[in-house]
Amino acid sequence: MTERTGQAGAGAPKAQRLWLVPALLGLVIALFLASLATGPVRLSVAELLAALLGKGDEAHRVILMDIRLPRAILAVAIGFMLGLAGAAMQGLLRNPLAAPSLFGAPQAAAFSAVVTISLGLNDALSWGLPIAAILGAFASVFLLVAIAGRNASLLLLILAGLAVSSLAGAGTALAMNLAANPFAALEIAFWLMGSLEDRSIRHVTLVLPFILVASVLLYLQRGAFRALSLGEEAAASLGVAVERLRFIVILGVALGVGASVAVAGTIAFIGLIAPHLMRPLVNHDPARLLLPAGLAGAALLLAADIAVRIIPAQSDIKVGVLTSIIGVPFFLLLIVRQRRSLAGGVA
Amino acid sequence: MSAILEASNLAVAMGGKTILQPLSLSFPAGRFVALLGPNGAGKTTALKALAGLIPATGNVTLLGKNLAKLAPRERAKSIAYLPQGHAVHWPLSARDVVALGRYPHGVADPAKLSRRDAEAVDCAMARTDCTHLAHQPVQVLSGGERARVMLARVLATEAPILLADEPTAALDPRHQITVMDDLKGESRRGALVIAVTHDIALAARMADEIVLLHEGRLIAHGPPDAVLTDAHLAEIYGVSVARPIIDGQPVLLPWRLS
Repeated sequence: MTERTGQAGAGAPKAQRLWLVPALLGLVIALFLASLATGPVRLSVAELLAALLGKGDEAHRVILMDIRLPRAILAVAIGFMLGLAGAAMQGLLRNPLAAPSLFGAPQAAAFSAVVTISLGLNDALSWGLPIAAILGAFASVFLLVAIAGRNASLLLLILAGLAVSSLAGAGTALAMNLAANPFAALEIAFWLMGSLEDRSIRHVTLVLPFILVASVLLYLQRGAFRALSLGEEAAASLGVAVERLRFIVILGVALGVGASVAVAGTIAFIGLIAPHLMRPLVNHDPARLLLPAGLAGAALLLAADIAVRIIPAQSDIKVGVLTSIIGVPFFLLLIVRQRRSLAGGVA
Repeated sequence: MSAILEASNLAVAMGGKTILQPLSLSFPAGRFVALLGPNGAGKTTALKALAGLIPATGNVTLLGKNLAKLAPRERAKSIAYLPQGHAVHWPLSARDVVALGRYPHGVADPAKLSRRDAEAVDCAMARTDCTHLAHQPVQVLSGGERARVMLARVLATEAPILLADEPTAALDPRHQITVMDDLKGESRRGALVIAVTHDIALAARMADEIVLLHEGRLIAHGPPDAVLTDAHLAEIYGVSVARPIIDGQPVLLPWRLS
């Protein structure tokens, strides 16, 4: 990381960038309002405000409160969760390429959701799918601990995570394979792409408590992430209960990201990109990274969700597809940078 | 003299293999102890077990208190541990790294240190001569500079016990002496300092006590003259030594295979 650290060194030594969090908050609020204004029915700012305050045209109120507001809230909450979870995972693993899906929770959540779809237990208003997905995420934590054992090393946990996510992936494929009819298979395929369309306020109330608890759980570990910069041994000698920390992160990520998958399907790359964009702005401090990474995640998902509504296409593009399309080149860029820094000999 | 750190029947086994045979040691405060032994002797294992960082059988008592029963933060306030290798995974500034030494004292954010914490950090950096590096990312520092920053991190904890695993490894002679001087200085201020090292000569010259390990067993513990005998060195390291007199002081010099 020679070059980038060189830049950090050249910057003002004590630059705290106090504007960062307020600026990101402003961006999220602006995108939130833009998201409310985006859709087939054009709403002026005045109409928007009136509808928000419960006044004005009845149809506008319904469009805003029942269709656009849940969608925008979910984008903020889920984007925040993914960004924060990514930053936490990268802090735990001390690796900028770690993603929230590493321990298999999102895949397990997706698998349980897919099972409810293929069994036909899911209808538009059913609680079945999201609850099954959250249970799936929880089950993945138990499976992970069962495979790797309590007090497992990080390497063992990553291997166990690979096993859990592969198993969930295989199960998902099997569910599609055995789907009763082509429509079920198609529904699964579309659901897996990840979308915030047609979500109701009930989805919001379902997912929000999980995201809240998970965010607090992960945010409270920030000091430990900073101590982990020195490696697990040194962190342990500083009084960090490293094994407990690992478990809390796994649990927090499963809770938050599992609940996110439960209502929105799989949305890739936000958890990888958001922390990485923010890292140079917080002087690479893994603790100070958490909040900005969450806010950046919220802004990214809001922007992507606005984009899928604006981009002209025959059928609408799913937001999870868009984040993947944008995310892959970014991921490649990350790898190239990593390669360069390794070639530089400073690891 | 009462012991500040005491191990009784401390033993470590990993994967069914005994790495450290039961050993009993006791150290008073204010001593500079060198932990010596060939590669694979169990030095690092012994140090980690003394620090309470790995599962071990037997007992370690810290000022009369059972180490295993202390909360991690309490233990961390009493024992500062400097691991081998000096890894830092993110390009944090040197001062932020040193401020991590205050983590056991409840410092959450290095940008918001209390006056007391800032004092400890500044003092540690001054003692190890790295004040001027404060705002540099550790990744760009030279090996010697980084070693000093990491040492400052340990000193900033202001723990009465300081355990260092090969603090002079991969350092040039100047920095080897600097780091050993700093560690000895801490012992003169009243701390118990135990350092693992391969530098027999430096250890013989500077340490108050030597602990000699071989194949997981304690061979000897005592003043350098009593422990670093020709017989011990031949038996354990397989070398014979010369002892030329420099500045009126015999200097131990590994000379040839015995």
